Amino acid sequence: MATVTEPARSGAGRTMSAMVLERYGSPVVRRALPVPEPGPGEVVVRIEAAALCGSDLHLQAGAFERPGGRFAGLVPPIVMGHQIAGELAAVGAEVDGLEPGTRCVVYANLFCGRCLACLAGRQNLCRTVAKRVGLEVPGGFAEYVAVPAVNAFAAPDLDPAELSVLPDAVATAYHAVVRRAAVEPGEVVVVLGIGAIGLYVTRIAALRGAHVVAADRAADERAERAREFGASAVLSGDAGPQLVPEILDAAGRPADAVIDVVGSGETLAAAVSLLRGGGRLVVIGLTGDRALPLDAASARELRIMGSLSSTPRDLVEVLALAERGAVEPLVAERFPLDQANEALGVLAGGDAVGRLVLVP
Amino acid sequence: MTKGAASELSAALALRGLGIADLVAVAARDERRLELAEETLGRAGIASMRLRRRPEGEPVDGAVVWDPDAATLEAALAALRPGGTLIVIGAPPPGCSIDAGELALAEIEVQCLAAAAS
Repeated sequence: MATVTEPARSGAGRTMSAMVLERYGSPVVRRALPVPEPGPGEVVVRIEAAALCGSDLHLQAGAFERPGGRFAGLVPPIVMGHQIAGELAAVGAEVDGLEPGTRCVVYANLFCGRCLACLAGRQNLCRTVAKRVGLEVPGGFAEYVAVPAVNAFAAPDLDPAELSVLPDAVATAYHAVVRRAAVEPGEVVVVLGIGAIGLYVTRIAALRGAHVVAADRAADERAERAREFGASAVLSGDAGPQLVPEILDAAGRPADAVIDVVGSGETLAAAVSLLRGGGRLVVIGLTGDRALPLDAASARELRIMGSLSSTPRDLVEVLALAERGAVEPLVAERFPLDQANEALGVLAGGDAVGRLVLVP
Repeated sequence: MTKGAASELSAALALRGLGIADLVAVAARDERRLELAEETLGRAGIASMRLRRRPEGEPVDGAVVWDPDAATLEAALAALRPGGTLIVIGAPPPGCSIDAGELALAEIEVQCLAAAAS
């Protein structure tokens, strides 16, 4: 796959607009890049919508920059954007079952399909490729993107901006609730943080038949959405230890599972206090000091699980839920591609309910 | 990986019972204890089981920490491959914490067991 620095294949010399992160800590800048051509086994997607994610802010700030770490291959210039919906513009050789014109969403984690992690259905942890669209390879802040055909999934007949919410915000929540926490009907589930992902954690857990209590610093519209999505109680305030008695009171008993979408020291300490003995804590969020008190967790024999992104199976199941209207993709605001910096600014403000979406 | 005296052997035998044959000593605190465990395993005739030192940088699928302290936990987490499991047996010292962000980014699972504390 071509990268920003290696635009080897281009669509008959055509160029496209892309918003490029050229230096960590800087705004993205508009650049003309070659339109990619699909290599063997690849497709090119004409991007109709690319949603923004909190991790785009982390990426822009250079928070993933760590020599030798998981993101060692992540070096600017970067075309961000890992939540993509669009239409297949071109299909490469050796691709079956996908036709130009097909509406699709992009699964952003590239995977080999052959390593033990992939064979176990954990393509999000592929041991061979370990690259992501919108991070190590060019992403959705552009007019076109080339991806492996196995990363393009035919989408239901929804608005592209709404579709762009599904591969990340909804699928990440689905993965945390279904694959990691394995929520069962009748269980008490506490959701700490109801931003876009937290709202969908609430929705998916409620769909699984759980009794869901949510807590978040923000009140009003977000809380109302959480109730609409199936939370039986929504508590407002810093979701730290001081809110624990109130949450337990609303839950009726200690939680079987807590899903922490904030991941700060405060919420992690609260999560441990909220769980019954042997309960499950799933951590999605990456905020602040992230110190999990293991001494308290150990005494209660807790299971603590990280949850990273999603798998292709998660995405397929989420698409099916969206097709039958079981999940409602929330789009807070749409921006033209060249207003990506304005959109990132609104995202940093933290008040949006739902995803902010770039529409090239 | 364990910290306690007899625990290396206990852990090895328990894992053998689960069908795990390739054991890697990640952060044995005491080289002599590790040697004793190797000798004991050899005397017990568990030929199908291998206890070896972990080559630098080789990731492991699972780690067992007995009677944990902060340094051993940190070494164990660093040794795990993405998707790996850390089993913590016994009570960590008061105030002991781990970086939940690393758990999230690598989808690590930590299972705490209190009952068998040494």
